[in-house]
Amino acid sequence: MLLTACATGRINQFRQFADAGISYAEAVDALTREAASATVDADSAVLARTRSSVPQDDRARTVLEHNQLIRQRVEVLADLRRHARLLGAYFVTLASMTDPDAASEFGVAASELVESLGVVGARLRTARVGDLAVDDFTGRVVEISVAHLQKAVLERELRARSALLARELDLQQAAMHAVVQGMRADLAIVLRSQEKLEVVDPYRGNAKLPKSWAKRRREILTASMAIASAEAAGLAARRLGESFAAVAENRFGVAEFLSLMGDIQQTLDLIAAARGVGQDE
Amino acid sequence: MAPSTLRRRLLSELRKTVVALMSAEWDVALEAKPAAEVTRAARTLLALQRARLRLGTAELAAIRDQLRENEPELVKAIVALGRARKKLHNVKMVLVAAASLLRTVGRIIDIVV
Repeated sequence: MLLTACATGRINQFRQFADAGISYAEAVDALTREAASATVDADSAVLARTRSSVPQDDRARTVLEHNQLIRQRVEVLADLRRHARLLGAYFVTLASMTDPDAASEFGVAASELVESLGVVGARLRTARVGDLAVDDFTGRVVEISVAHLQKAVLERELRARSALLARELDLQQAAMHAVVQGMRADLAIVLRSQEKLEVVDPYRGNAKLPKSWAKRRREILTASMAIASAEAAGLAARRLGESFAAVAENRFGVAEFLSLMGDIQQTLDLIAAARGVGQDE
Repeated sequence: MAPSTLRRRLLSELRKTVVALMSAEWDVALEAKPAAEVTRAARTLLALQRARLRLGTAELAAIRDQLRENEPELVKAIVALGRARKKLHNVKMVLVAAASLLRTVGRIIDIVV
């Protein structure tokens, strides 16, 4: 009876962790899309502000060069999105392996997912995300020790691949930190531009203020504050890595689950703030 | 300082300065300045953004040696620009500090605008 209770508790740990992993992958998906939009919008704002200072015969070259640099950033963000999706799929597979009737094919699926993670991860490791290079951060891999599990196939899976997974989770942490730093700056640039064009300039002039002036002022100032306080948005990746180790070591409880979900929520808050930045453009 | 740390500090200062130079406060500081100075300010902003993009997409391995060679000047220029940024009304001080940093960054990556 006691053995059954332990096994059920363990199964719940994996299920909860898999749920959190899916939520994380979804958050990264949305965050990287918003980060890509923010990087383009910020660069457009700078180009528009400085256009008159660029000689006319240099303008096409200038904008094309910036387009090229922005494309490189957006491609890396897409790789990060793929990497997070694969991680999410792996966690779901792990959770499925806790099912007593789970077929052994799950082991093959897990193996293939980790292999794909390695391929995307290798590209990301040498790539640059936003303003910060991923290779500036990676290298802190925590060793995960796998606790004894009732389900042999799951224990085998974790023992075989926990080191590789820890490395990919470390990469995810580095990349997310980089994305959030760059994204916050890009959003701040867009907001500064909006504040000047939609709040300060109309107020300074003599024309009647637009009807939407007060509303836009509130939106822009509120978004600025939300983004300034969004520093913790990149912490979800770190917590995910810590939680993975906790699950493998059989110490992933309600508190750990809630902390992880809380950090994922911070990421969602930054996404919401980012969406608010461009809503009236 | 490790080249990765130096690049991180450099990018952080570039980010903060681009944000500052996109602000309405900077715009107010440029009011009544000669056209040539306003143009110079705009070119500086564009060069800073270009430096930010280029440095962010450069492979660390490719610029490691240049970062090491230019470390003392880079650190000095980062500190000076950080100080100038806090006095945004002093346009000349900001532009001189930004130009100094951009000159040094120009030895590491191509930022010709």
